[in-house]
Amino acid sequence: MKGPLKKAVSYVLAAALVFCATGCWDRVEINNRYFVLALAVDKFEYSEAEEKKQEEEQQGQNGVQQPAESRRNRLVVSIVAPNVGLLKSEGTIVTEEMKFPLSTVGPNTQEAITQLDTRLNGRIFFGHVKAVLIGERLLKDRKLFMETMDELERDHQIGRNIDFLAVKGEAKDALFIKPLVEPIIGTYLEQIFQQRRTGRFHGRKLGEIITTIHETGGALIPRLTVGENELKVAGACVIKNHKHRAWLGELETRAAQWIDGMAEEGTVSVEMQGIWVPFEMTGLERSMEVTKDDDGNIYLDISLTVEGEIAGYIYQIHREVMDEKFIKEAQTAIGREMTAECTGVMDKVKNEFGVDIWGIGAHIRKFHPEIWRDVKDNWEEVFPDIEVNISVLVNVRRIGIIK
Amino acid sequence: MNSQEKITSNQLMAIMISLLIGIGILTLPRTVTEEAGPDGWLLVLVGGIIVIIISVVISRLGIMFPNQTVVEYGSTLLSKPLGILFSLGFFVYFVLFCAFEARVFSEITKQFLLDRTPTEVIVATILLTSAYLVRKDLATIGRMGEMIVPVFIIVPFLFLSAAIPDMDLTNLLPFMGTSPVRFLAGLGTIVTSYLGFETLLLFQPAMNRPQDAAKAMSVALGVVMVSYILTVIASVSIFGVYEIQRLIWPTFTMFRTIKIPGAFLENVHGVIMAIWVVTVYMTLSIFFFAAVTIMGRLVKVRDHAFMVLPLTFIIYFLAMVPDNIAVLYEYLDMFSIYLGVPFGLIFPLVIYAAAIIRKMGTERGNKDERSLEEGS
Amino acid sequence: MGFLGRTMNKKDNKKPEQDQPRDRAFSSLDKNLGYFKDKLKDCDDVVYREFRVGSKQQYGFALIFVDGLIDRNMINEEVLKSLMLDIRRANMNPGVFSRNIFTLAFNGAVTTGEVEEEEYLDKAIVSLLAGDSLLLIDGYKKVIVIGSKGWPNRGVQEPQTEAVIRGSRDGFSETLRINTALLRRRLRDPELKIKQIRLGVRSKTDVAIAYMDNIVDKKVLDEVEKRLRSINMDGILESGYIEQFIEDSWYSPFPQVQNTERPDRVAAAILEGRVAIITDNTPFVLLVPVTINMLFQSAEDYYERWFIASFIRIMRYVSAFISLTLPAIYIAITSYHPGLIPTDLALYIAGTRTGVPFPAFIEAVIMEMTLELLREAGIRLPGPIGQTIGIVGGLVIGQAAVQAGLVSPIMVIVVAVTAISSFALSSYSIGISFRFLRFFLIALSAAFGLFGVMLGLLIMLVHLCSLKSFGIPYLAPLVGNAYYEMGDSFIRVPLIAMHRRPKTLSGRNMIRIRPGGKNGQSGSETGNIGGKDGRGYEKTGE
Repeated sequence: MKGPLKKAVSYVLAAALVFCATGCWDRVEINNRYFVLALAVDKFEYSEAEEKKQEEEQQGQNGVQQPAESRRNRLVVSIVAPNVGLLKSEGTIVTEEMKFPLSTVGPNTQEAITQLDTRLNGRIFFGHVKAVLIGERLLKDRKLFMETMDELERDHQIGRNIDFLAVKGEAKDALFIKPLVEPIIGTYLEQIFQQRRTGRFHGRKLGEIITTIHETGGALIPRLTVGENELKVAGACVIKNHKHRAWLGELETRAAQWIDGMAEEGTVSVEMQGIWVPFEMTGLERSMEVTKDDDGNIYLDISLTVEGEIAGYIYQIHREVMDEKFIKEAQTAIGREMTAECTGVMDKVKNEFGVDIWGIGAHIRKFHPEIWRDVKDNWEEVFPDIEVNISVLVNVRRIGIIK
Repeated sequence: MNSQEKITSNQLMAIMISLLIGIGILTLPRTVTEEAGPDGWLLVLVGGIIVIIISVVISRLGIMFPNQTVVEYGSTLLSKPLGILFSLGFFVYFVLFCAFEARVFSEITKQFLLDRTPTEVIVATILLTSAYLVRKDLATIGRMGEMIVPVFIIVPFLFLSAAIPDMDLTNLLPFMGTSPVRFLAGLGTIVTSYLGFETLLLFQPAMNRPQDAAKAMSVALGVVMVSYILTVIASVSIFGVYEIQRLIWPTFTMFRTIKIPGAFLENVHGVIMAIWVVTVYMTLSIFFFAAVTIMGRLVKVRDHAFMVLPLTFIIYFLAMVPDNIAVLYEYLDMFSIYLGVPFGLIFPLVIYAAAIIRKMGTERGNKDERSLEEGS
Repeated sequence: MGFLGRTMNKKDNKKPEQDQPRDRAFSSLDKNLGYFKDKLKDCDDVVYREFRVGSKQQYGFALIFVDGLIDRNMINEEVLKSLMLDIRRANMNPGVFSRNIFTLAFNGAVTTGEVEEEEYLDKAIVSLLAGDSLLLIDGYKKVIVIGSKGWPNRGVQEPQTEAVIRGSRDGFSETLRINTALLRRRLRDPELKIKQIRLGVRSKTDVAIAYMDNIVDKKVLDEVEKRLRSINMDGILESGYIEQFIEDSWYSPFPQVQNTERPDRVAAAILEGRVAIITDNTPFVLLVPVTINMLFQSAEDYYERWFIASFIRIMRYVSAFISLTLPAIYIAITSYHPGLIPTDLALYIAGTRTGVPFPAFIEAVIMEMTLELLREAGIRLPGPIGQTIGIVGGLVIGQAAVQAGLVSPIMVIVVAVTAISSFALSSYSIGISFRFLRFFLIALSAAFGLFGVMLGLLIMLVHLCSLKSFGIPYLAPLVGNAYYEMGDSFIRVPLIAMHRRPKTLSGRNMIRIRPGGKNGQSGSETGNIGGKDGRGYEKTGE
């Protein structure tokens, strides 16, 4: 049996070798890839007038047809990739552009990408996407937004650790600007996020946002504003029922983060005797207590413990900062200020919008299953009625190097 | 198995660990959460204990019938035709398992690593590579296990430790909130994640100290159980009970999110995929070997190597049967329920009961004992 | 410079053609001489010295030897002078003289160190051609075989292929006897047995098997002897021939027999229970059985302190892995999975590869091929030119290729690192295996990316797991029950911890260091520690 078997094995091996040589289905040279660093999706408004106009324009042309205005197209998808040729200094002829932004329309993200593939000389690769931007109008269209979110989640190349931003206006504009500071746009954003110095933007990643939206239908998405040649990341967008509900300003976002127990670092300015004293936070801890009384009312106590230092006062002699009484005063003032901000945002989000962006429902579900049993079916209505009491305890630990 | 080296206890442990950790671990966090919510990890624990008990039962059988595999003492205990029927059934069960492993492996590889390579090619290559190993003897497989198991136990858990800051253990609350009925129903599915331990029925005679089988199995299953539990806890902590039910392969997606900043291999999922290829390869090969062993013992051949290649083709064709991934997982579920539970749980217990009732088999073996050395 | 040697003319190979010696010696001197001159016709380096002995020159003697193979001095002084001159001067009873010239000559007159008598002329020819001299006496049917070996020899020099920083610089030479002596110098134990046989039908090469009788695994020893005796070949010109005949799997890329030029390595191996095969005409001694981690050990690992030694060993394993897989991983990452590396690196690589006409794996193959060619060229060219060509050639060609835009600079770096890693391996034979396997992995990686690399590594691992060397699994200390042996694989634990011999190799006489031996005291009997016979030696080393 050994002879013919050995022959059979050798034939199989030979075939396998041939296979290997002709195969390599997935091989794409790294310099032939188009590394998308940021992806932007906007809603596309179809208009008949535009379609007619485009048809007329293209009557006499035999050139490359742009994706037509048609009913099918509902999204504007833009991508940006760096010009890697510039990294090779000698001997190549490469354009001076630091990055290549491209944009197209399509019925959904995947098809739009395929469309873009036809216009590029490289295979689009999403493995290094750093940020996904969603335009305002898309956020307001519930169905389209949910479709887009599903596509983002389903794609295996787009990681879950990337930044996800809501853009006030058209997301596309964010990719097409020419910023002064950092030419390659995706990493520009990533680097901003890595700073995390202020609490004014909501530093959650795509994965966490997706998870929250799945559980409650609501979340906070960081907001991006497009300037002339810069991008500003501050503030947030409140999502309710998979749709944009409102924008939160920078300070409100910061307060919302405090309630979440995040945004440990930041500066709070408090007025004390006409002087706006800056207080630099270095640590924040949050604890939540939920109780229910016999009438079925639910009470939520949020207590924040804050640590930090006083960063400025006024250059004068008659009052010292390094004085226990002063510090106590400062602590009270700061606490009052922070409580006010938090309560403000809590009222707005809870009462006005009725969105649970802090996972209070989840908290009840985990820690107080008895309460959860009663409220889980109509959490949406119960949530706005919860009485929330926020208290902030401030500890000023240091005051800088002068007294 | 022809006259060859025996395997040591450590090698048996390594074989079992690499056998059980295969494709199941990828979907495990999702399936247990679907069954038991945040208490999924408890399900894993209880399932593991059940399986340990059954494998101790099996090891008793092996001691009662020295140098015999279930092919032989099954026939003795249950009457020859029934025994042969069971053995054939077992054979089919293992072959199907191989086909499933190969196909699921190919699907996942296509999804995450090699988009455009045809499924046929991936399945064919892994089956051929597996065939190369199966032509050798169990001791070789044991040695491979010994080399590989430390790597694929330690490395992923090292990486997981990088994800600890992202883990929110409160996701595992409320504790014991699941109703007992749901819990018990879930036990059925969890036991199928441990399938593979029944190969002890075939491998015990190859040990150089079969009486140590019980201890070795317990340790091995314990390791597997702990690995499963840690994986489930980690995944649920990171994703939460709702999200995790949406992800097909939460284990992978979890590793996808882990980044070790500044390191050369920033995205660890490449290393994890590489390790996982090895794991599935071992699972596939050991089931393949089990199937070949059964057939070898049924037809009483000396060297099983010649059966391997035809069986490779059979498995290949079986693996290509499902049309898409949804159908594939449906078949896999049916397979687990209709074949896995009977052969994995019921069959060994039945045989053991038969052995007790008919009072056959002693510490020293009975008259029908067929020695391993026969035919060599 | 000569060195006395002698072969024990024991059992020859029982080959069909050479079964029994056939030609008996004649009585007549002339007939004997005639036999030799006939057989050795046209062998002009054979010298026939006829002379007469006795006060009245009544006895005919003849001395035959091969010029160049003998120690001239000895022949002149001890044989010729002794027989021709000194006998005359000796005051002997004439009666004694006439009785048995042969015995007289044999026992008393020939004053060399080794003498033997031989009845069969064809066997005498074998000895003659090995360097012995033949003394023929008229009227006697026996030949005196005089051990007179002495031929030009390189002497004991530093081994070329295994240089160390610390350790002896003795290397084996091409003469068997010198080599066995170097071994004896290190192991002065009567248990060190050296058995000699002759291999090769026409070359009749002397081959010695050396082992410690009370440590070696008898099964392995028997297997070695069995395999050696089954060699049926014209000429055994080098130990490599023997290696290829006795190894377990000829188709495996991994060496299953270890070779070394260093006597200290051989001595250490013998102490572990292995068998050494010393072959005449080559300084390379074979050691069996071998496991993979032995191929990664170097002698000076044991002479330096354990911490350094462990570190260097780990580096060796790491560089082995790198030299095997780096090009394949590079190809897999750049061609298939750029998502696995940090973004900046990916962009950088993409940038440096713009304009390169070849796909990554063609680049890799071209560079590797070039490197192999340079390596071979460097070996062939003499002395300093060779080494320079290797280094300079590599650098220059690499640089030029990058500037011409044929390869990317990263590729050059990858290939250079691979090459340097491969030089760090301590055993040449495993280095060659890896060179070959690297191409195998490159091919697989080019076809299937990371999946292909893993498949290739799996295939190699399966092969390694199934490989055996004389019954010992190739991966022995890493698998199987001998976990304490791991102390000598990836790292090297301090000598005081290495108090047991590797179980896989012998299983006998397990203790080699007694507790307390470190401070110079001889430890007391500690009883049965490990192995079946826990008997150790009474004293630790001196």
